[in-house]
Amino acid sequence: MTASLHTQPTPAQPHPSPSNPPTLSLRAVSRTYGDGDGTVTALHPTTLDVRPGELVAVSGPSGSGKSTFLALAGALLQPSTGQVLIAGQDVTALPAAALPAFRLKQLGFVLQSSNLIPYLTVREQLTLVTHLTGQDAHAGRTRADALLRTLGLGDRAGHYPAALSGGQRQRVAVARALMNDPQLILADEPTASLDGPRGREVVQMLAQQVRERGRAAVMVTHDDRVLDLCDRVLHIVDGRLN
Amino acid sequence: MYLALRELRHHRLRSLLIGGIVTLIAFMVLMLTGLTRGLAHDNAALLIETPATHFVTTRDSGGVFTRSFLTPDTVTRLQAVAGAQATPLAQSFATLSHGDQQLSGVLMGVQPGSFMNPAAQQGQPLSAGSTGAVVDESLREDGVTLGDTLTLKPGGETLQVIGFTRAARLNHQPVVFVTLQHWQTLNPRLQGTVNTVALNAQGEAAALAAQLPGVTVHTRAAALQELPGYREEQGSLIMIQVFLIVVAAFVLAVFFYVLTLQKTPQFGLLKAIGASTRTLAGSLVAQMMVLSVLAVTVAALVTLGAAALLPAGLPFTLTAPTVLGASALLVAVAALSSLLSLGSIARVDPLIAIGAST
Repeated sequence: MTASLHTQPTPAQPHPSPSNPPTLSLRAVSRTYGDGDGTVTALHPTTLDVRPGELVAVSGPSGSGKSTFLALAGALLQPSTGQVLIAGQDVTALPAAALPAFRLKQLGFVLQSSNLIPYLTVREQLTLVTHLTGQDAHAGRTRADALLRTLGLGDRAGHYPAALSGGQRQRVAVARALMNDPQLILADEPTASLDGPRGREVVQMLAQQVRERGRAAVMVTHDDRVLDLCDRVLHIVDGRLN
Repeated sequence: MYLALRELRHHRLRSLLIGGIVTLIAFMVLMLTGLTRGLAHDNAALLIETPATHFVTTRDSGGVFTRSFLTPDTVTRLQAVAGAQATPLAQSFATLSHGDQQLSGVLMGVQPGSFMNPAAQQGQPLSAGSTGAVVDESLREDGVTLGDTLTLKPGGETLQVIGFTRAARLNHQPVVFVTLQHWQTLNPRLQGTVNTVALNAQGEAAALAAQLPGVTVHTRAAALQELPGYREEQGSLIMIQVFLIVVAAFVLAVFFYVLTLQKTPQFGLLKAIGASTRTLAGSLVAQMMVLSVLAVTVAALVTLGAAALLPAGLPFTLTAPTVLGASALLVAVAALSSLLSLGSIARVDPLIAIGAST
């Protein structure tokens, strides 16, 4: 079954142009678990395009298939059927061993609360990404400091995650996701442990960065308070996206 | 190393504790190595540091010198085969009195011109026709000095100490060297036989000697193992060392395995970001290496310090190559013990990083 895309009015500019090639493209992607009588369909066949500059929210109750959807879009899980294209690359055709390097270059992840490495300072959380890609340490540091300033964390660069508030931690996670200048950012319940204003702040920042940088983002959430900040909101119920 | 060092530094107490355990185990291994080597030297320095490569005994002796009696005829035939590379040795146990002190020793007859004639550290070496004795330096601790007279019990023959030599202990007793001729006059009951013929020869002469009837040629190492009590004594100490090394491997393996299991969510996150299994495995091995190299280094320094404080009479021998060898073994064992954790790192699925609460 093909999901019909429910589009909301776009609150921000630049408006994603339909002529741009999509950053994320799901083509009839489905995922089932088990086999024979015990088959469970976590995601029914879904087709979806997310274009540069667009922040798409996927909202739904627990167990609706949100996580499966995000795992498929994030090249963490291979679909049972269909194709997943990220930045023009069919990730279902990549060998499993090539996926970590692909994620490192093309994807940024903002995950739930326990999202940072406890023994790295805020700056090191970011430079870890450049370290993993084997880039120059000095350039990484400069870029990390610039990103932290942009996201209002300039004075927290030397702190450990334990010394930060929940909202600050999620902002660090957003900064880290931007560190490798990815084509696509995937956020998994980024507001889960935050109160209303803090949650809005984080999503606002994410939306702003996505638009300024012309990147695409998909956010899975069940926090209705932040949906108005997104360009499109899709609902997922029992593995069906609409 | 990026992650490895930062994690060790951040969790200081944890790093210190595990490093401390490895240090203590390494210290025990090194101390025991010193004691094992020390006992080996105390027991049989003569056979450990000898220039001889092989020892010939009668076939029925099983390689035990005191059970082997080679006739003068056999000795002549061995010398015909190996020339100056063969020299007879005769050995008997003796009780010597020094003043009002009774001392035990091994009375050994050597040919003065041969390669088995001990070099004198102090005094004179044995020469042909000499009736004096060159004795092991450990007798100095019993108050024996150059020129002293030792009286053989119960016969009353006297030996004047003309020189001291080093590394001359056998059966945990000091060796008292006399000329073979003198030894035979002191031991007339043995009718000119000797206990063994030492060879200082590579393969060929030893192979030729082995063809003579009624004799067996033992390598130096094999003769050492046949020395009564040697194998048993070394065996128990070496077993303790092996146990300690196995314990060290288990402690490290289990410690890092538990840590790895606890850090599964973190590894999932790192893998989702794009860290490869290889990067994470490298990080763990690096931590293991940093900890064990530091711990073993500290243990080696402490051991060398402790060795200087040990009482002089305690047999303890530790050389730099031994310390380096034991340290390398411990570090290698630490590296091996990381294998247990590497498997669980490889099995971490980055998928666990998302939807943890749903």
